[in-house]
Amino acid sequence: MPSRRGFLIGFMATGLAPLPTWADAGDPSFLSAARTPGGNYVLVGLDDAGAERFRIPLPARGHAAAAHPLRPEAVAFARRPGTFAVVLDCRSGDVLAKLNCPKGRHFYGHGTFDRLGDMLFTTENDYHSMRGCIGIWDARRGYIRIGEIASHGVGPHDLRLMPDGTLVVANGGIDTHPASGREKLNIPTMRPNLAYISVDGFLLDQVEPSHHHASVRHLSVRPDGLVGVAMQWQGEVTSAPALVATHLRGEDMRAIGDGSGLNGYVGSIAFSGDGSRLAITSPRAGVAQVFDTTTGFVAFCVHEADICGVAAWSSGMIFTSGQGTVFDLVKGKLANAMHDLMWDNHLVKIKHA
Amino acid sequence: MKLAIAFILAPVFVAADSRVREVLDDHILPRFAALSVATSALADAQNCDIMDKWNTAAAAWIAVSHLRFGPSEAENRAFALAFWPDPRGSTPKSLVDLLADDDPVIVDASVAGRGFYAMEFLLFDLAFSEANGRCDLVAALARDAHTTVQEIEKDWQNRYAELMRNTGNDTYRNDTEALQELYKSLTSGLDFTASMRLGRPLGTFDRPRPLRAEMRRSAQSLNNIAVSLRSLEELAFILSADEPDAAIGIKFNEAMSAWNSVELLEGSDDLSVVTVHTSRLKVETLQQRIFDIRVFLSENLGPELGVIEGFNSLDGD
Repeated sequence: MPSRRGFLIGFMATGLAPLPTWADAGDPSFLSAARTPGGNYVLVGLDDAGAERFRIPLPARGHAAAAHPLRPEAVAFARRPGTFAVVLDCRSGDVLAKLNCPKGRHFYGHGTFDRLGDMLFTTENDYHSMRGCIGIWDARRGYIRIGEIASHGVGPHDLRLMPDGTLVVANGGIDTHPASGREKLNIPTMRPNLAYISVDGFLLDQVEPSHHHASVRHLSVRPDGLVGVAMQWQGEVTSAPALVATHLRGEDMRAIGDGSGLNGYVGSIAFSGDGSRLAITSPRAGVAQVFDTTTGFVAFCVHEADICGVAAWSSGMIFTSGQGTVFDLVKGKLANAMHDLMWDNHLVKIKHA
Repeated sequence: MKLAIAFILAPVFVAADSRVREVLDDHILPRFAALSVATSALADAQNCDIMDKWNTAAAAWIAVSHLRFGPSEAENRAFALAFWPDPRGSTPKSLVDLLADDDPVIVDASVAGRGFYAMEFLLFDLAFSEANGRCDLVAALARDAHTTVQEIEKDWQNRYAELMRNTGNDTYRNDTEALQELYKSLTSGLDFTASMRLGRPLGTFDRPRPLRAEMRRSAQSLNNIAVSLRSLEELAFILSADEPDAAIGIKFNEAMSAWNSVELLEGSDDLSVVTVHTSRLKVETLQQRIFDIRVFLSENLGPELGVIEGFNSLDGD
């Protein structure tokens, strides 16, 4: 009869040892970076009711996070022009790995895993040559950097995994350089685009918004491949065109809304859980607009100061604000939960396997 | 859509907030008029011995450089007047291209080769002092800058001032939104002066970056700080009306006295003093005093104007 110890060793050698899952981290549904009343920065796991499941300190202000699709691991990015990201064990708060950008690169604050969580893709600025790139990190081997591909544009911000395993990237078009902080250097000549890229770097498709001052920033992807696009206007605010669009590969971008009432700025975008609606937030205008994806009309607006985070929830969606509120639209604007935290730009859905 | 109709139908006959009117009549319009007079003198010059005229015009620009909305933002006008910071050194490259062109069309040129900072290279940088066609290009840039300034001035007079005076339009739904726009220009002006005009040359303690100072070639770097602070103080006073006026004055005075102690230092004009440890501290103090004004305003004036400096709305990405 084999000893228990021998059995366990054999079990682990086959790679079948029970791996931790998100359930081990309190089964959160969402991740969001936040600032505490004391001025510290944290990454928080939230459940469906908007209640906190875990909280992990961050070294500086975060931006978006990427949730591993299987393991309770989150990658928290510094906001641009940050050069670090940390991979956190959401059970313990331990730092599992640190991602350091190579020399001459900085992160833009967004990243995404592939479907199985083997690889992590990050948007980066190759600022000497003024081109965007996508860093590729091996999540199976301690998040070592294994390569990079062109983003096929300047200033890539958000990127998402498409249902077919390719990438869609929001190339914002705006050139910045660490020597001048967050100053925008090429507004008159900027050329944003939405690029579809295979993970080995081939450009599959690319579209530009109708006006070159509409910086393509944030994305949401529906399971059928429809991409929701949120833009930020870099021209005079009174002349802002539609700042929301949907796009299906091979077709033209379809503008949604009329760009008014958003202060030229859209902070986040998400399809509803059932895909019938597309929500965008503008913290500067203190408003969320929810569109019907079929008609393109505004289904309704929600006014909430400093609203920004939005993610699919149940069949609808859930929002966060810099004032600490978490609310969905089932109960109207009634807050599901109030926190003494300032929720940062993005609410990230954890895709449970 | 319903929302838009509601705005159009909503009757807004409330008298304009007197602070908005005063900012327009006593700050924005006269300061753009002064800039226009200054660029007119530059454009009309008969030779290229115009360093003094350039100094006057550049300072007049600094005094309105915080007003980055509306007419300045339309048609990339502010960029065409002022391309700075320039971490890639695009301005001298663009100037070399323009000098190589017998008959360059300035209005179609890269913004890096236009405006006050480009003219500064031609007028003050030794690398360009012997360049062929230098004077012609200076004259062409001066005329181009004056045209842009006139466009901004006219746009203010004929269109934008009215939008702020009579709110209840698509741009400003009410006076509060107009006040918030003005407040935002005040705070972003302070941020820019502290973080860029001072922060860039300060670099880090171990690695100061004196060559990154704004307008160091013409030795206007430190003067620009004072010009900017005076103009921003003027705006702050009007916005505060009778509220925390005296306290704001004290904050600006503290910054100006820090400025004075920097000015006493040998070689402070171009801020190259950031490399000298003892002098550097004084520049850091000046920067801190400007950040102090910024904090004071966001704690006092901002709430008074109904500005909630939201975590996301203030500083999004």
